[in-house]
Amino acid sequence: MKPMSQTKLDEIKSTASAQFKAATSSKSLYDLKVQFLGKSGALTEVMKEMANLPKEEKPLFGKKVNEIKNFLEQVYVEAEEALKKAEMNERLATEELDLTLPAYVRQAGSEHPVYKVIEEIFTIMARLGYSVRTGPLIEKDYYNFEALNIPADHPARDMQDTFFIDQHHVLRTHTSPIQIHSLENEKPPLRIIGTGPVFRCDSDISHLPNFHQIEGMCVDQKVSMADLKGTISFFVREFFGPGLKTRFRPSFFPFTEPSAEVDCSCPICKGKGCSLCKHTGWIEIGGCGLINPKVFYNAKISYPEWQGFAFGFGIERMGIIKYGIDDIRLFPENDVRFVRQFLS
Amino acid sequence: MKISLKWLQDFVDVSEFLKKPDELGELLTRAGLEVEETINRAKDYEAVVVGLILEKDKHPDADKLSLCRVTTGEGVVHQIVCGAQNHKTNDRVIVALPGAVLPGNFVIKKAKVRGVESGGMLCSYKELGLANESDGIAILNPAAPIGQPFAEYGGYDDVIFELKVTPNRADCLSHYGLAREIACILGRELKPLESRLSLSDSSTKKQISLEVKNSELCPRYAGRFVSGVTVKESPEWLKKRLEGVGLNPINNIVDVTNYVMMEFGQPLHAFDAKLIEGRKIVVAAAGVSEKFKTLDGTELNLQGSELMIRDSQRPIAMAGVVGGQNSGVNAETTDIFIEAAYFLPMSVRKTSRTHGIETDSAYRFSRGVDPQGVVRAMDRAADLIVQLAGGSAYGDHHDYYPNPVKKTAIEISVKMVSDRLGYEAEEQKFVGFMRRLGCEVSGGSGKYSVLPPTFRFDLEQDMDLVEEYARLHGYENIPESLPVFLASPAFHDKTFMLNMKLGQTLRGQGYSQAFNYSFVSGHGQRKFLGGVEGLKAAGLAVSEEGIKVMNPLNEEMDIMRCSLAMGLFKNLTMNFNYGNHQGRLYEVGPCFYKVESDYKETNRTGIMAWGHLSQLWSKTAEHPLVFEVKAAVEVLLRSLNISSFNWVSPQSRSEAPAFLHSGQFAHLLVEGKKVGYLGTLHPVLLEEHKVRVPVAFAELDLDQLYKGQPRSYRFESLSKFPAVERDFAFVMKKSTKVGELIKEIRKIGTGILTKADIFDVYEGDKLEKGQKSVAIRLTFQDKNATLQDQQVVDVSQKIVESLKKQFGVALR
Repeated sequence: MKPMSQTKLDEIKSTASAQFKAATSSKSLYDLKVQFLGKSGALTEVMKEMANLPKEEKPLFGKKVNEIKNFLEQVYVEAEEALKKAEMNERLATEELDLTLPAYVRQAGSEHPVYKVIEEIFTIMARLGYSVRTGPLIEKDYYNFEALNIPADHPARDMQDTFFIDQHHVLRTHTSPIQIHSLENEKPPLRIIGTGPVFRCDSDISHLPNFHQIEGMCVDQKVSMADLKGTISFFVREFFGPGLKTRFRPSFFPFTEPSAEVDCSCPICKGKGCSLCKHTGWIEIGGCGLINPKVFYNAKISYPEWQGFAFGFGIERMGIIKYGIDDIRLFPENDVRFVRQFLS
Repeated sequence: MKISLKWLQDFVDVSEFLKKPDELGELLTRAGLEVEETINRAKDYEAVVVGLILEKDKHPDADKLSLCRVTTGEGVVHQIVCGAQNHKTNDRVIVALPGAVLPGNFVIKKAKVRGVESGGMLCSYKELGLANESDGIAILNPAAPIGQPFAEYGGYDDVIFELKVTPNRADCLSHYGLAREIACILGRELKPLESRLSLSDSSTKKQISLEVKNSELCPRYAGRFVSGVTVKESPEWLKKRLEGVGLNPINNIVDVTNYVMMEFGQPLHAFDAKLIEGRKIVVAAAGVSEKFKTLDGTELNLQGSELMIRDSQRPIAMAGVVGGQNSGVNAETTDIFIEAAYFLPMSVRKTSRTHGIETDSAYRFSRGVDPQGVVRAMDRAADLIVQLAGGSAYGDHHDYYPNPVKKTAIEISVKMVSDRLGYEAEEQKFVGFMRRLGCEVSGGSGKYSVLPPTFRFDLEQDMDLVEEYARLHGYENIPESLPVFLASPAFHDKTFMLNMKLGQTLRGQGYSQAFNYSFVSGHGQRKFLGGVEGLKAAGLAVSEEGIKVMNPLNEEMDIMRCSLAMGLFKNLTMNFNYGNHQGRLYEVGPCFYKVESDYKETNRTGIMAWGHLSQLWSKTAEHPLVFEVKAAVEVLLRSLNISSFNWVSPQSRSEAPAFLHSGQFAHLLVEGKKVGYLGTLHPVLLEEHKVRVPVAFAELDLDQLYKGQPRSYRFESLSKFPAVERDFAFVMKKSTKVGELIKEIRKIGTGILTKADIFDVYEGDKLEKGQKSVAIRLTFQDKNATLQDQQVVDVSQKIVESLKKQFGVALR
């Protein structure tokens, strides 16, 4: 073997391995690979000299070149791995994110508190076997009043300031007409929840002219005041939480007899007295009673074969009590800052 | 209604409650007579007493202050610094001692005033809340008893209850009536009523004759003549009682009629007898278009249905509602005719409502006045008038009462009471309760016949007695149970349930729920929508003529809404003004329309988005906002399992409602039927309301979307073979609707085309003006085999050919 070729090979070996190890990027390393090991690289150039060698020296030279090639390829792989690792570390470092920056929020919307209350009550009462009903908002005088034992020119009509559409139609003043539709169209036994918007010609700091009610009616073969009281107490505990007391006071509704108003112990002050309960410890939440036989008579339901009770609550009021909302006028404003508080 | 505790004491012994009125209030509330407020003046004047100034010196360090030594009796002497000038030694004054809390939450404490100890305050009437202005401190009568609590001295030791009397309990609208109720609740006796009325030999009937023409509306009419009265101011005690229950004293005659009304609940009227023409009273209906001037001078046009009190010429009072100006008591009156009657409740209410006249009299008559108490009240008034105004009460009074009101006995069994209440009612208790209520009870062995008193208009059927038993036994003693039900599985209202589901879907899309009033301003709505054509064109149920509210609260709420758009827009502008610069709201609720004379309600949803949701720190590309609302609508449709829908641009831009941008607007078709619209809000509208972010809105007819719900699901087998994607870019006229293009692509690709997604839309310099480029990625997949390249090429070619032919597109 000619010493010159031998020297060249050794030089290539040491230069290439040194440069491979010193490469600072995958790109420059690859360029070096091409420079030394590529098709027209340094090593290939040396190989070309093999043609000029004597026949007997060729195998040895070839072997030597292969050794160097393998060696350099090994060095290259190692260098490449080291570089990749370094580069990945570099990338991870530069890609560092400040995860205390605000989240990219794509929040779900909220239910309006009025409907949140309705759905909650509906869910509670459905567990007792009540199913939900709705009815028209523009109601015939008959369904809103007459059928409910509130005849024309009866002072009970003064209890509800009424919006009229024409002489025979009103904007329903309560959800009770739903009871009548149900009595007329379905057969007892019945356990229904009627709900939706209602209207009263009244607007001030504590009244909306368009608000919501929920109404329950149970018609069965034997229904008592004790059953009514038990049902409402169950409902109040489920809705407001355990530990709340209910109080029944005699009252008057033309469509129930006996009638009662329902108070619950104030959930804010737990009965000690605060501004919400006007320092009485009690909050009025709704009315109830046994269905007046006259209502059954009007709806052509056989009484006392069928008996029943009914109850009704103001939804906004329930929301005010449960969530501590301090102004009823917030309900129809739909300020997103208000509605968003009831995210579920 | 205001009730005086001291007045009640005239009829039933409630003396133990003077010191603890809240207990009586609680008792009444629990019996169904809700006490809304208790006004206890004695409590306001606690530690305020009558005192005597023993010495008055100058304050050593202040010229304008005096230093007084004041005794409040029993040798107790207080040193008090006073700023007033009008008092002197030996004056009797009102002393607020430490611990007193004067009106305005002014707490009296021991204090040093300019270095001198002062143990209380000498009060003016203003400081006691009894006068608007005071000239110095109050100097009392030299006879004022030293040390007497001021409340007692001044007559402020009464307690006034504000009572909420339900319409069925007209019998409690007086002190006597409430005393009767309290006696019943407490099981006490009423004090006997005394009448000291002495009558002259003269005849009322000879002075004034009476004819009742309508005995149906006037079952009882009584009257008494009193001559020689002197109209003047009422004495203090009478004025104080009236003022205590909220009535203004007028003169002794009118005051007595009011007093007796508050006492017995029987409204009375006193006519000046000399002004009764023809000296004749006729009770008859009004003439049609007859004129009548009320006491306060209001002229009414009568309709003919009103029951009137007339003389021989003209109406002189509206029966049970209000007196006439032509016959009222005045300063010159000497002879009076006292009217006491029982008018039919419904008739009085109707007259009062028709003319919008609400008086204490009409209030009581329309709820029911005890027909048996008519003469008693009339004579009580005659007695008081003779006492206070002099004169003589004539005998031989009128009392027209041809058919005495009879109550019907109610048959009831004690078992029935137990059944309805859910606990064992005791027979003895039942009989006792009924008797305490004033009922006549007969029968036995659990079955009774109960005859209610005439003053209880509300006791008509057995259930009414069940309530009375429960009330007197105490509602708090009703046990709690859950009813035993017959099984009765029933469906929930479909719309309610679907609305609930819809809400969940929209909330999942980031929209919060809103609720707006069902009525809006008719004028505002017309302007906002620009007529109903736009809604009609979008397939929404609407009528030319809206549904008006006859008696709206104001003109902002005078018509039932026909769209949800305006309400949500108002919510948006209010939100924007509060700094909520982006938001998402939806509403589900009724809109109203007419079909001929029928009122109809239609269930709609409105979906509104304003402002982009992007975070300030991370800039994202801003797409037109309307596509976000479109996405919400499509998610909503899919949640209802509706897959066959498309959006179409309207034939004419004028089909857009006025509040929408006429160039960014589309109709939604579901299974070929129009069910609503989508669009961007009109820039001019946003400008007007200073809304500086884009706003998009969609409104859908839910009645149509809910038809056939719930739609059942049908499984489709999944392909297990690879999908192939091909991208195409087409150049076309700007006006070409991509939706139409996609529809055509889908049609031709049926079988193996699974998706056609737009991934780029370009308009700009690289294209001719009026052109756009749309890049579409088509995905092919076969259910049964791996697709051969040739198949994809063939279908793609067909698609391209068709698009060229149909839409004149060119491959880019």
